[in-house]
Amino acid sequence: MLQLILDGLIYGSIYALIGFAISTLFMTTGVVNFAIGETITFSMYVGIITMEWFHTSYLVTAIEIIVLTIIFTVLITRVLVIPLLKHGPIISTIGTASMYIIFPILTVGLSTQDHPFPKAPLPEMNLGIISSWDAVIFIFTVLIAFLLHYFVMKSSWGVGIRAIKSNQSHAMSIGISVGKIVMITAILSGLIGGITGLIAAPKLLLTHNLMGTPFMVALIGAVLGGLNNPKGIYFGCILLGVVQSVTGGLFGSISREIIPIVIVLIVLVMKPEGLFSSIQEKRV
Amino acid sequence: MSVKRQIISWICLLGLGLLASFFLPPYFRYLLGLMAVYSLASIGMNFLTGYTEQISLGNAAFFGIGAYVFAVLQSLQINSVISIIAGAVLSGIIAFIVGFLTIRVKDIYLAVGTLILPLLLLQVTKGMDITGGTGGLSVFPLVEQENGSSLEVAIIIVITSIIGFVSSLIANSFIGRAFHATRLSEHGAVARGIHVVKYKVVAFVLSAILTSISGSLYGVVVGYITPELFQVMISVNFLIMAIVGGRGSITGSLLGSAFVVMIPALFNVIGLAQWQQLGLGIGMGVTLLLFPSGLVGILSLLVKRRRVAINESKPVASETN
Repeated sequence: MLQLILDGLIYGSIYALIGFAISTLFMTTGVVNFAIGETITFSMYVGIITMEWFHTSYLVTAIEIIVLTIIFTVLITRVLVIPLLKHGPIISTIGTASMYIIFPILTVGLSTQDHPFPKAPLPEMNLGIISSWDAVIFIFTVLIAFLLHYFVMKSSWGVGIRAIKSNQSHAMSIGISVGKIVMITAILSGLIGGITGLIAAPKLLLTHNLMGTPFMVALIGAVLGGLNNPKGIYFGCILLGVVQSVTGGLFGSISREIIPIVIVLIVLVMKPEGLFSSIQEKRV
Repeated sequence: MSVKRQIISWICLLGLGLLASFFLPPYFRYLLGLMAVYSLASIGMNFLTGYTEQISLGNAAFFGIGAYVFAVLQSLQINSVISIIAGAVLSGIIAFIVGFLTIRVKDIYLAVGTLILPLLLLQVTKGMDITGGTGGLSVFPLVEQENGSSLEVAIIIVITSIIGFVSSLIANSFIGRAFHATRLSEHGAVARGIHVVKYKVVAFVLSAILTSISGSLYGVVVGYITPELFQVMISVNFLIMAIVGGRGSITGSLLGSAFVVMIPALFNVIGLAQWQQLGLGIGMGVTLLLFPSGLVGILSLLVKRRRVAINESKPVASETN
């Protein structure tokens, strides 16, 4: 039972990381970047192939992957999200869905195989109940959650993000550069995305579908907690991960899929903005 | 658009479709059938996303329900028409319940809330014996011939044309206007005496019924169905059809379904089958960037140009439809 909960915590952490990558861009634009998962997978494949061909070190590969993810996310934001945003967030979302279709094809064009992805060269520790890589996943997620929370709540850019979140034209009129803040969130989203790939791939094995299911679960978990604040996403995804793991362990694999879904439906009906969302946003 | 013009254009479309279904080679006939089938789902999605701006990723559920109810009832030797209607009614009831439950849920939250439905049904159909498990079921044609024969496609085109005509009547009636008003401003719609909750649920149910019929006919065209019909990608495809075709336009829905079927098929024909999704994605992005109102935007641009050319001196009437 303890093992199941721990497993759930680890998977929940990975979902939470993807949730953060989704939510940073969502906070300023109201657009869910459907392509983020596939962008990460593509960058990981580029990374592993350069590693195999040119024998680059882990650090270089990691930086390459993170930079690539940031570049792709910024490009998607620049080319598809911002120009389409004036026609409504739904159109922008569908615009990112076009990349959701394109990137898997590019990934297959790059390599058709699955690759085991190396772990970061960290000292191995004997932690007893969990492996040291699981501990890395958990600690990194908590760290990123805290950093993101403080960035959004305390830094001056964070003030800009929150201002745009609550009212874009108002934010513009008080001198906040909306374009700049949106680009900052796009870079942040790419950065978190790249880190997510590096952290998740050794655990999940680098396949073409690395981010397929996790993306959907992360989206559901993020909505469960409330897409607008890092705290909500963290707890929403962790909750979903633990529930999935425990129900899957106790009642078999079908309930692993069904029971969390039913919980989310109930939560959404009761509290449409998510479990941890502040009431502030409902104010008319 | 007046009712008379609608009737004329739908009859023209039906005539063209019937002609094509008898003279095209088998592969293109199959594509034609697929296009006709998807156009219903596309119209259904448009009622939801284009007309009332509710974004749903759950329409794959209704597509699958339509397909599975049809296939299961067909294996019990029940009349095809009754099977299609049964699927539509079941979808309508489920959509009514879901639409009512999620009435307070908006935007991406609604998309995720509805996404739950196909995920749930995917597991259910995989687990049950009557639905054939992961292997799926085979579907027999409507009349005693093989799947995708000329007569078969012709029948499907007749059915879809009739339903499409009815939906365009609905879109141009007080219901369609209420949908538009709801999308433009909910508060405004309430102030004009429109029952917003009612019309949102109506849009949901209408969408589910159309998608379900589309699902039933899909089984007939393709010949077999699998739990893959409940994949999220199917819902995303419907969304693409509705948005790339043109929001809030029946013509746009038809163009959208043609786009999603024809672009990959084009790549197939010229021998680049593995790149077909790439073509679809790029085509989508380019269309959205150039014509944010969808493919129907190209059409209205052409019409406008022609009108300007015809009456150069006269002022052009503003295009509202």
